[in-house]
Amino acid sequence: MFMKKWKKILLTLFVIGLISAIVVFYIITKKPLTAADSKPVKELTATELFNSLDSNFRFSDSIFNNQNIAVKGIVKEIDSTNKHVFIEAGEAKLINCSFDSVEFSKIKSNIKLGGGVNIKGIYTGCDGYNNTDDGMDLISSDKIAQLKTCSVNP
Amino acid sequence: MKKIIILALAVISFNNMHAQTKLLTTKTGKAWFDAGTGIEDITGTNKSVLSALNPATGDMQFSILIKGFEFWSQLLQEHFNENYMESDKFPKSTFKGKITNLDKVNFAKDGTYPVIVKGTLEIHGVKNDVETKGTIIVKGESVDASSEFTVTMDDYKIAIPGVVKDKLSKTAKIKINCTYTTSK
Repeated sequence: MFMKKWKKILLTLFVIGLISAIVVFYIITKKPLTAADSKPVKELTATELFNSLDSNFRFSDSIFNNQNIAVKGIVKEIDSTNKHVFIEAGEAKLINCSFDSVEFSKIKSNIKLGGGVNIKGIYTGCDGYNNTDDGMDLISSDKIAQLKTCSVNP
Repeated sequence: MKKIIILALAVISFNNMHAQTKLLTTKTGKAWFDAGTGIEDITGTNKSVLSALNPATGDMQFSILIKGFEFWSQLLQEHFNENYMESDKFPKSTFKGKITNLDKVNFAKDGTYPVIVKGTLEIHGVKNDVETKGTIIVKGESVDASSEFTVTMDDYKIAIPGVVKDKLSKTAKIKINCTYTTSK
């Protein structure tokens, strides 16, 4: 009777330990969010993105931070070597969409300079705001929003 | 005839000079770091480095958004941004410097040129003067610049919690690679 009770306790502890180990393993090895794995939380045009950033940069930047957002706009540049597509967002404003090889291969035959595109990606920030503070006078004063792990937004 | 040849040479020289003085830029430079001790993979890659290089003066600048780094694990990404780099407070890392042996580089001629770069590196809101070796490869219209160097976490006030001191090194190896084109 006494042994049966101890066996039950040990078994329970073992199961709890096993579940905990699985949860910890899952947390440690969980891959970061990519745009391809998820639906965008917000869909907007390139102009709308920058209108939002221009009106209140700190607030908008924090809202979009690390979120999957989809952006529609016109293709300004294609860097096939480094797998980037730049979307025009107005005068001296661009959205830099970076892809991995797999996702870029899905998009490259369907995009062209001056053509429309709808891309989703994880927003990581925007350069060009407060540049005068850091003395980077050679780097273009263009405002460049950055999206990583991009993919086509169907 | 002589006048035509002299004029042609003058035009070619002018074009070469002009090509050499035009600012070189990139929006897709790469930065990679390794801060592991060998126990765990503590590496990250950023594929959207902004950089500019003035071939006439040797001035070089880099700007990297910290949140642009990609990792193999969600947890590592969170720790990197929230605990180590505090990227909400210090969203960018920058370098502003100069090639000190510019006379050894000919941007008008294809070739591989070892360079020494000196300047101010800012990480985690802390600026330090640094000097490092690099390589510039000129090939046709494009100029490729790369460098590898090591930074010490303490120098940039990046705190390493005791819990992870076995996994996280006190130094980080950094590699930068940029392929420049003439600024439009």
